[in-house]
Amino acid sequence: MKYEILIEGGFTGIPKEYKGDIHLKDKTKESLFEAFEGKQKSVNTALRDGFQYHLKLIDGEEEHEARYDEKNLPLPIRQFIATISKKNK
Amino acid sequence: MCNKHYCFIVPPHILEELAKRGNISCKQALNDSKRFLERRRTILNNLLVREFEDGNSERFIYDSQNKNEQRLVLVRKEGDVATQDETANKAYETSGFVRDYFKDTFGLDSIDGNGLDIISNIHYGEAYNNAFWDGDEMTYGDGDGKEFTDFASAIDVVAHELAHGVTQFLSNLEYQSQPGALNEHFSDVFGTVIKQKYLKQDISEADWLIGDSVVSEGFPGVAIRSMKAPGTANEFDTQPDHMDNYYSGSSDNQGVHINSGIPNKAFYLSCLEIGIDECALIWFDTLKALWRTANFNDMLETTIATAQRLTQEKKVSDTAVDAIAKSFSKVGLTPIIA
Ligand SMILES: [Zn+2]
Repeated sequence: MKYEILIEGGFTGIPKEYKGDIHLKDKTKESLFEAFEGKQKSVNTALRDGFQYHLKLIDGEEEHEARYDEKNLPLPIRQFIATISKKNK
Repeated sequence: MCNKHYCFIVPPHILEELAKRGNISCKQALNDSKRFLERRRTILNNLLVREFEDGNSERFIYDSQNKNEQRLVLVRKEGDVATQDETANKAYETSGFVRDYFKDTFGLDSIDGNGLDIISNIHYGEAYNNAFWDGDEMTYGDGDGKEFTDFASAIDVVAHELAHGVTQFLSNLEYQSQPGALNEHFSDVFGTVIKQKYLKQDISEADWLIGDSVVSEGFPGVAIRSMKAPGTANEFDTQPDHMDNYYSGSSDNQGVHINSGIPNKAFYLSCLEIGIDECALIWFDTLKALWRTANFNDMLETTIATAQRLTQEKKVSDTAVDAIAKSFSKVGLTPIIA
């Protein structure tokens, strides 16, 4: 699966970008895609210095793209970002 | 036609725009009395602010235990003795210092002027390189230990985040483009002022850096931002120090952490001329007079008007207006002085 992750904002204001390919177990992939399709929690307009997450995942014909902030990022997507971030350290 | 009664039922966004344009009958009606002014400010500033319970300006420190959860475990509250956790103790101490600065200097009772309790969440997330304000509380990561460390222990970071709360209640500057850059600017202003007070420095000793104590050895720079020399704090620092280099892209909510370098530099230059205490007072009163969509020119106009008033009241020196005008001119923002 191809991924593109852009993390912007935050107190530091320094963006982070990750692009690459990753193999995920079917179950992990399923819960990740379900999180994308789930109803997004409302945006917290009072958030200051919160990260903004922009993700794009392409798996064969399937493509997902979404934006989240610190307060409405679904857990499976947060865990996926953490995995990618650790992989790129 | 606008009269006093009508103004109260005008939707807030229309009222705001009318007040901002400054030349229509609605504003005249709003300005008829002090009561109306207060009412207008309350309406404008509470546009996006939720209802808050009254507090006693007390500190509450919660440990997120490296989860992405807030108010998880209360580890220290107002009056409690120190805990085993140094980060908790530092967050307690620094948030108290910031609270006391605003109270002792400007008479502001906590973040909202109404005794809102001060909630801090520490150890948020895993190797989390950030600190944020989310409308009613502050949250700090431990950093990854490689590039960043312990955001809750840094006085300028804590003051910066708490000042976002103050801004929310005083002017509610929206978080995008120029109003967003001003929101960031005011947080850096009070971050740097309070840091100098905390370290008992005068302006010649100060480094004017923001976040120098949260960067680790692996970070390519000395700090996150520099008020004295925007754009030089680290390899990623793209802050301009002049309108000629204004960032007009869409990243970072249209550059809120980028273009703040321009007014930041003007603040630094103003402090060199009239001192940091006079500047802090002028900037604080300016923040009180601003509104949600104020841009750089609105801010400059308001700062000059505020300095003129404070000069007449003998609260700042006679040279304040000229000093501020000169400082802003140097960053490419030239005021029209009445
Ligand atoms: Zn900020």
